Amino acid sequence: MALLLYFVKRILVAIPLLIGISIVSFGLVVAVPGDFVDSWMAQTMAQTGMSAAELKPQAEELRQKLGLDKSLVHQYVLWLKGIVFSGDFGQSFVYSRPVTEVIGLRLPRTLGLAIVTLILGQGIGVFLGIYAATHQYKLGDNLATLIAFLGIVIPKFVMSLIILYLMAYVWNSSYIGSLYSPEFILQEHFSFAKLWDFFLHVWPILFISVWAGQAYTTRMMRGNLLDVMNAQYIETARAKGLSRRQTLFRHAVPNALHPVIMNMGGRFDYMVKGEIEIAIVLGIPTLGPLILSSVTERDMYVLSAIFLLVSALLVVGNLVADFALAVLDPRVRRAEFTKE
Amino acid sequence: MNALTQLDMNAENANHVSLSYWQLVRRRFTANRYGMAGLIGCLIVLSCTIFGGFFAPYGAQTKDRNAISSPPQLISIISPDGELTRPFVRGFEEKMDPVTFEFSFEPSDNKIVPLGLFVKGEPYEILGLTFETHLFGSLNGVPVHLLGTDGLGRDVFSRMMYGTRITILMAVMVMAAACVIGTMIGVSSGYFGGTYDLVVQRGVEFVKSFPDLPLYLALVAILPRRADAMAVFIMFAAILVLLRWADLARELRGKVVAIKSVEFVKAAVAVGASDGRIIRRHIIPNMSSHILVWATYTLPEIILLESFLSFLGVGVQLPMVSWGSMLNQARDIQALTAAPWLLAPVGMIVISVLAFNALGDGLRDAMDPYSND
Repeated sequence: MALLLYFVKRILVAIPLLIGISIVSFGLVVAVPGDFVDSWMAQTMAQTGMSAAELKPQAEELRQKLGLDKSLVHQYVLWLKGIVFSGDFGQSFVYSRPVTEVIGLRLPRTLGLAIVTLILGQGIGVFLGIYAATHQYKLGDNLATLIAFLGIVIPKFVMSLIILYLMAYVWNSSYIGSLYSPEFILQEHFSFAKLWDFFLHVWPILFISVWAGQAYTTRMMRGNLLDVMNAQYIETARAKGLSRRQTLFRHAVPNALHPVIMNMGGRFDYMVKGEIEIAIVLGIPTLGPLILSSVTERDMYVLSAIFLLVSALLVVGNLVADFALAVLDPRVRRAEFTKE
Repeated sequence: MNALTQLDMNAENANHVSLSYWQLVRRRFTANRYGMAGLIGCLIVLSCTIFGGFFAPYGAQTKDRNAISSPPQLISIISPDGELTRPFVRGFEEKMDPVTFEFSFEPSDNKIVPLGLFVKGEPYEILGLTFETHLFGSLNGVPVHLLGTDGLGRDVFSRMMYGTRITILMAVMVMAAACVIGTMIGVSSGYFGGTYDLVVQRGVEFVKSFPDLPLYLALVAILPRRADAMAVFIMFAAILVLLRWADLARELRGKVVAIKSVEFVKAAVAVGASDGRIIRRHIIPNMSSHILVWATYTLPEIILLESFLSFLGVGVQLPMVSWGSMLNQARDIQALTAAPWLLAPVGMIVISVLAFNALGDGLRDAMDPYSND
């Protein structure tokens, strides 16, 4: 019961957050001078050679049809209605297609890669952290700490640049700037050869993201575990006759894992950001390069849609992380009640 | 240790003059080699910010038409006939491959450029004063390019020194603004509590829920085009501040709530101190170490973000030079292959991020001088 109440409360808190995010996204569209019809006019003028005066009546008609002549609040409601009820994010100026089509394929790729890197990064980080903490100040610990430190210090875009350079000129790799080799692009069905080909194209993203992502987890896990190992209940566990191993995995690790799980939501944010950053440099067709091109070309509907979707996903991701923690740890859901 | 010696030690300690908090911090910090190395690194980077013009042999925009994309030069002190001489570099013999038409540069013994310290060169400004003496330079008038030149013949090393200015200026500006805003909002929200606290905390949560990279990019897109570089620079900094203050505000609020119920604050209330005085004299001083550590960790984050956005060409605009905007030239993979030394600013980025992180770690450990580990 307490758990259910906790869930409902968290969801109720998330709703105003989502509304706020949608207002900001809409603000992005409105803040840029010139609306959709202006850019439509410019495009038609360039294509057909008609003058602005000739197009004016048509433009007014289009404005009325799209509701752009109404007040901002009205426009916002229309815009939100379109998104919620028909998944309509507006039209891309640059591609002259609905935004959903432009983003459609790219968003799941970014998300998928972010989730895979999140799982790998956290897993490796936890493992390295445990190893480092149990071998404190030995070679393995120093090595793990060094790897973690480099992961934090070297900017991801620089790592991507270096890998791009190596791929292009040292290894003469042909797996650059796309997701599949030409022979697999038209292949509809799933095959392991295709999956492997996909991996050969995206491994730099996985490599760099996981390296950078595991860094914080390794450090955190190492620190936590060292703290926990000094706690009295660990000594008690040892005293009552549990082996080192048993104490470690039954008592120490679960407690040290807590902050790591609590941070999952934040880490997800970090991974999405990292994926975007790396994909921009490597030119892999996920959300990253699309964001950059829509910034330089001011394709505001695309930009605001990406922004809205990514923010909303992060809110949902945080919600899921909170739920997971509440299920795992009774203190969390109880604390929420004692506060009130 | 038996009880007697323990007692002795306590008695001995009692005779010492006790050290203040900051003295303890300093003692602990200076004992930490790693933190000290970070401090030295930070001082070097900061000195480049102020004395960049002195360290750089040329201006940021000075073009050397005889050295387009020339490679780095190695300083040597052994002359071609095997004797020890003053430091010099070898000039380049330009050769063109008759098949590929590719230029190659060969260091030649016939073109020796002697180097000297404190050489007169282009005028530059430090804090509004104009100087002409540079740390080093060539003595025979032939330009020296220690880290090579870019596609327009501009000295990479000099540009890197000038780039430090913009990058660090940006980082310090953003950090300072975020610190002030975050402290004011966080402390007041924790101290006054009530509805104000509730509203502020929802606001902080709201700001923190934005994914920063997409938001920065989206906000950059609505900056007016053709605004001059300075205006873009300031707006860019403002955008970075927008999301940075929230973390600090949230952390400080938690600490203030905890410290509010400690005796010394209650005592201050009892003797009739005003809210402003309590905050200024009792609460903020207790937060200062936390703020300091936060600021040290924030600087490298901003350096990285600014570098990335400038690298993409949406951050610092021409004619301003930052490390990131220098790397923008290396985005073109052809340019990068022709001149890998364009990546030199990466070294500065890594050094500064490393130094500030090490300093932050050292400070964080030193800030808690009463712990024993």
